[in-house]
Amino acid sequence: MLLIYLLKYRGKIFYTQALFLWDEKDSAEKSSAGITWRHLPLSFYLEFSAIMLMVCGGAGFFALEKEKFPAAVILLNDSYSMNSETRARGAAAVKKYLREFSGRRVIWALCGDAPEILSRGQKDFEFEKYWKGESSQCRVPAAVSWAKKNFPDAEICLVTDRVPADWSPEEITLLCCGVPGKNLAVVNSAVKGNRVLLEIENFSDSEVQALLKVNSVTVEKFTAAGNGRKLFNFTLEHPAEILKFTIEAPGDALEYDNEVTLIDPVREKVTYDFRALTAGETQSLEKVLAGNPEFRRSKENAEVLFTAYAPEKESFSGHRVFFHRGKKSVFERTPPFFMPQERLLAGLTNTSLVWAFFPELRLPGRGVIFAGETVLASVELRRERKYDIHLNLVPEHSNLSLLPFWPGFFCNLAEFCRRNRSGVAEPNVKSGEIICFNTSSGAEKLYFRSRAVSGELAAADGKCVFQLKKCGVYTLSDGKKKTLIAVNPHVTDVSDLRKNRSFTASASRKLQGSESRSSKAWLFTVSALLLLTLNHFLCRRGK
Amino acid sequence: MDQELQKYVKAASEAAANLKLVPPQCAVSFDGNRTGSGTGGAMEFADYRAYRRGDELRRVDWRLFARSEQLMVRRFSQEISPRCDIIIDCSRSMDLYGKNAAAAGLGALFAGSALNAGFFLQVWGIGDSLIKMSAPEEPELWELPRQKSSGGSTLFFEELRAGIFRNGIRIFISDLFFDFSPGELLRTLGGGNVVVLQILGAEELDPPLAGTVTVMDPESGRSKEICVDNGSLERYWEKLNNFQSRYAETLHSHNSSIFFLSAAEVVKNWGVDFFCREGILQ
Repeated sequence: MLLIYLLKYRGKIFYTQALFLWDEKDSAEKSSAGITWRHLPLSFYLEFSAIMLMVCGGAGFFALEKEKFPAAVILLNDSYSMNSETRARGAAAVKKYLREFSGRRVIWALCGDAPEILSRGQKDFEFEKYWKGESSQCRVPAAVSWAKKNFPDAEICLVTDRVPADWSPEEITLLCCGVPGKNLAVVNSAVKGNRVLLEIENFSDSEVQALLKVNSVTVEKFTAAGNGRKLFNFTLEHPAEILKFTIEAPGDALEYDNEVTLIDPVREKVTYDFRALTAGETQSLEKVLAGNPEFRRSKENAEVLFTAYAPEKESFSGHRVFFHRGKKSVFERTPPFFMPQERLLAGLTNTSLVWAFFPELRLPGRGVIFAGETVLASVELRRERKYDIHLNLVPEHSNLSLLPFWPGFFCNLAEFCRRNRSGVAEPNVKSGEIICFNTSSGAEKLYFRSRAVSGELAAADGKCVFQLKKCGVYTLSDGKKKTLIAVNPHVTDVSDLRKNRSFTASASRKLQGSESRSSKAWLFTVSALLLLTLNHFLCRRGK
Repeated sequence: MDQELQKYVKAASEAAANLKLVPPQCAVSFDGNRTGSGTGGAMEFADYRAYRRGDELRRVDWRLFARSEQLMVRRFSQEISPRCDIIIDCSRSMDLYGKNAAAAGLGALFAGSALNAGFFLQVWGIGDSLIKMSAPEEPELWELPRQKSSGGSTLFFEELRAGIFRNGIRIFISDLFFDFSPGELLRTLGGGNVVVLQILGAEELDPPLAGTVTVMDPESGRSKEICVDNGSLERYWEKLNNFQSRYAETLHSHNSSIFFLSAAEVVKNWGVDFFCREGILQ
C-alpha cells in the first residue's frame, strides 16, 4: 500500500513555469536555528490514515465476538479411586476434548465431598497440580447443582473413572477414564491396647490371596473370598503406640485403601469426687460409678464433682454435677421428656422412667430433660469447657437406678468429660472427618504436621475445628499440649473398581461449531475508502 | 510550424479577414501616409473621435464638451505609417496546455488585423533564439522557434528591444512566467502603447490537482513537492491574481493594456468579440 502510494504520487508531475505561485510553506517565518514544525495539510493526514487502515485490514485485526461456544465447567472426580494413572488418563482426555472447541472459557472444579472451585476461567490453568484424588467420594449431584447455579449456560463435563449413578446424559458430558480392576480395601479398623479389629473387603468377583503386615512385618497370609469380607480380631504381642496395617495383594488396582494407621487411644479414667451429698445420693452414685470402668474416684484433681451446692468462692475447676434440693419435699412422678440430639442422653430411653423432682425448683442453664415446663436436668457452661450439670432429682423416689438409663447416663457423662479434655477425643479419624481439638487455656493457634503437610490453624473459644484430607499420622500441638492423630482413608463404595469404565459421552446439547473471531478487514477497507473519498472531495476546488 | 499549429493559425487568419487593428492614440510615425493623432503646430485638425480610457486629457475638446456634454478627442491629420510589432513567446512553458496554439493563433489574428488596417508589421518569435518572421503576412509560413534548452527566453529581450518599433503598437503574447518584472518588460518593449496578452492554460487557471504533487518548471527543470488542498489552491489563485494585478497596474499607468486569456477559450473563436468590445480590433 505504501509502495503504491509513493509510486502514484511520485509519478504525478504538474508542469508549470509558475513555481512561484505555489506554496513555499517550508520556509521559516523568522530566521532562527531552532526547530520548526512542518504544517501538513489535512489531505496528508487523510491519506496517511487511509493507508494505515488498509494496513490494519491486511494485518488481520479481528474482533472477539460473544462466545459461540458456551463455557465449560470441568468437574474432576476427586475421590481416592482416581489414582495417578487414572488422573493422567483423565487429564489427557479432558485436554483433548477441550481442544475440539478451543477458545472458550473453562471453569475447573474438584468434585469431592463438596464441589471446590479451582479456576474461574484462567487461561492455561494447571489443574493437575490441584487434582490429587483425596476425597472419600464424588458427590456428583451436589457438584452439578452447584455448576448449574453458578454457571447456568455452561456445558458441564465430568472427568471420572465410572458412570455416576445419577448421570444425566442430556446435561453432563462424561469423560470416563477408569479401568476396571480388583481391589482389596480395609473397610473397618479399631485398636485398644494390644487388641486389634480389622475388616477387609474384597471388591472383586474372585478370591484373592493377600498378606497382612503390621508395621511392615507380615503377620498373616490370607485368602479373601470374592465379594466378601474378612474380619481380623487378634492380639498383638508387642503393642505400639502407632500401628500401621498394610494389605498386599498381587493385581490390586488401588493402593490407597490398602493401608490404615491406628494410634492406641489412651483412655484415661474420669476422676470424680463427692461433696455435701446425702447418704442416699452418695450411695446411689457410688454404686453406679464403681461399676463403670470409665470412672475412678480421686479426691485430688477430680474432673467431676458430684455436689449439692456451690460455694461462693468455688475453688473446684472441673465439671460439677449438682443434685438440687427443693424446700418442699413434694414430688411428682412423670415420664420425662428428653431433648433430642443431646449427647448426654445419647442412646438413652425414657421408657418406664419415673423421675421424682421438686416442682418449685428452677434450674439454670440449657434444659435437656423436661417434665412439662419444669426442667429436670440442664447443662450450663461455667467457663472454658467446664460445665455444670444440674439435676432436679429425688433419687429415693425415682427408679432411675433400676433402669439402664442410670449407668448409661454416666457412660455418656464420662464421654462428655473426655470430649471436653484438652486435645482430641479420638486419635483415629477418617479422611475429611471433622476433628475438634480442645486447646489449652490461652492457646490461640493449633499447629499440625505430618510427613506430607504442615500448617497452623486459628483456635476460637477454646477449640479448633478442622478437617484433614491427606492420610497419615499428624502431630497436633497448641503450644502446651501435643497429640498424635492418625488420618485414615474413608473407604466407601468408591473402592469398588469393577464399575470403572473408559469412554466419552458428550451431552446431548450440540455445541455450535463456528469461529469466535470475526475478521474486520472489510471494516478497515471500507473506512479507508471513505477517507480517500473524503480526501478527494475536500481537495477539489471549493468553487 | 507543425500541422497542428498551422490549423489554428489558419483558422485565426480566417477570423481576421474582416478585422482591423485599431491604432492606439499615440501611434505616430512620421514617414507614412496615414493620419495620425499627434499634436503640435505641424498638425492640422482632422476629426473628432470619442474619448477612450487612457486618452490624454489635453486632447479633449472641452468646448465641445461644454456644448454637447460629450467627451470627444481631437485627431490631427499627419502623414504617418503606423507600425506594429507582434512578439510571440515561444518558451518551453508555452508548449504546455495548448498555449502555443493560442499564442500562434492570436499572433495570426492580430497580424491579419494589422495588415488589414495598413500597419507595417513585424512578427517576432522568441524562444531558443529571437527570430523575426520573414513573411509576417503569411502566418502559416512562420517558423516560430521552439525552446529546447533550459535557458530563459528573456535572454533575447535586449536584442528584441533593439529591433522593435518603439513608436508603434507592440503586441506581446506570452504567459508572462519569466523573471522579468512588469516594469522591465515594459522598458524592453519600449513603454507605452503595449498590448500584452497573457495566455494561460485551463490547468494553470484551475489546476486539477489534489494531494501530493510534484510541480516542475519545464524550462529550468526545478521542481518541488507540494500538497494540494483547498487552502493551497486558494493561495495559488490569490498569488496569480496579485501577479496579474501588478502587471495590469504597471501597464495601465504607462498607457498600455493587458488582457488575461484562457488558451482553451481563445482557440474557440479567437476572442474576436472580446477584442472588439475592448476597442483593440474593429
